Amino acid sequence: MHKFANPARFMRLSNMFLPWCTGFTVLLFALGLYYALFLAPEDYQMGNTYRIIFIHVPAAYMAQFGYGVIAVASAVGFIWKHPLADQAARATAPMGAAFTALALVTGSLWGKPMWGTFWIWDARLTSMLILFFVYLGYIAVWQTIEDQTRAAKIAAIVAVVGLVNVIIIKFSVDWWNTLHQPASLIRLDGPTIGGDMLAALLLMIGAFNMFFITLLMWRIQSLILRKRIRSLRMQIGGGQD
Amino acid sequence: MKKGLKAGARKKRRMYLLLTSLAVLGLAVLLVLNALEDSIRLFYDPTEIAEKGIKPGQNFRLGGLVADGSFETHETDSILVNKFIVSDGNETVAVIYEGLLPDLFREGQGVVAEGAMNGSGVFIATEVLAKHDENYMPKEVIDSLKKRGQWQEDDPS
Amino acid sequence: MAPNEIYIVSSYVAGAIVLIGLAVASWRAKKQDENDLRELEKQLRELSDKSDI
Repeated sequence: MHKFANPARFMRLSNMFLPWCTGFTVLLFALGLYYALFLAPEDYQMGNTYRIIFIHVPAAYMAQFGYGVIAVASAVGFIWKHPLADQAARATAPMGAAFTALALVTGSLWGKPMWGTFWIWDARLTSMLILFFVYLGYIAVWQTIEDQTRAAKIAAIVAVVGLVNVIIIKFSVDWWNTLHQPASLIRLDGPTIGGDMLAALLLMIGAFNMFFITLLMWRIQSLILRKRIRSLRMQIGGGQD
Repeated sequence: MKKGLKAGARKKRRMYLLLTSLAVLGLAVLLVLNALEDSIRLFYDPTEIAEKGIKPGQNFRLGGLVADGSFETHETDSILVNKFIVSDGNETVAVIYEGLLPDLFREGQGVVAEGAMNGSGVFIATEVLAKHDENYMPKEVIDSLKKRGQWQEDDPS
Repeated sequence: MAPNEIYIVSSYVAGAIVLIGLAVASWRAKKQDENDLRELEKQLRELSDKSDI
């Protein structure tokens, strides 16, 4: 476990993977957008407007994927006291918040023409808004608590508390009646979307996911570098600052 | 050796702490959500309305499918008056709504309407929202299905 | 469905803003940190050279 989480080793491995990840991200986006905007046919009821889902669904998925990363990394950091895990969790949070915001905005842009309203306080929309605030709270903990070990511990607790909400988001459309439709992709009887529409959606999800992983590596590298910078400054300053 | 064992025990304790706090929290949230069930639900279907006996003038949201062949609309004094029946396959409620309907509103599709019952059991809606189902299908597929007579409008089941 | 185009375009624009914004911010932060580190390492080398003389 610790062997793989060694910062120097992470730098080496991530530098090896990064060019591939970046290239793969660009390729998936090119392919995904071509499918989403040109190949995927019009929907029988919603015409072209349904194409909003090719942004909305991947964004909402990444919002929850990001939270999953934070929860797992926080748990590892909390139990095994591994600083790299804490840094990974910390690096994920702003991206998760951004994707949650994107999911909320694109959802609104879907809601107005399709449902007839930008916003409604149904269980899915409300729990997604709560996720956004959980992300903000998580980021605030890291920002306001100066002692990094203490910040990591409290942030981990916030992350675990918020995990309950992520479970609620997933099942909200099944547990309560909502305006938001039930899942089309991940369901027991298979997807209710097919052909090029499904291909476009999967490609866009893949693109978003690859993008997320690429950026996450950059951001963790950044945090590792910053740690080294801090310790070098201490050396040079001789404990002056 | 001794030190390592101690660190291992501490790790285990932290793991249990995390798992139990998650379990306790989950249970607490579950209980709260269960208690709040009535306010979390977005709408009531016609059967529940019949069972609950909601008083006229009391504001609530009604949800269900627009019954086939029930939708009619006419203009009086340049205001669009829409009449349709919301059904859940068991009970039905007649709805009157003045104003523009969303794009996805059509017979056989889900709607959520906000408003209140009037004295004669008709639901006077102040807002009508269309509810999309989880199906996405290419237009061409539906057109060819219709041509071959194999397409049936969603039946409210 | 033409009037709905504004909603489609807006959501793709919003997506582009978020993706590009995140990528640029993360990339620039990484480059900045790499530069800072290089600068510090240079300073440290100069310091140790001076103390050698």
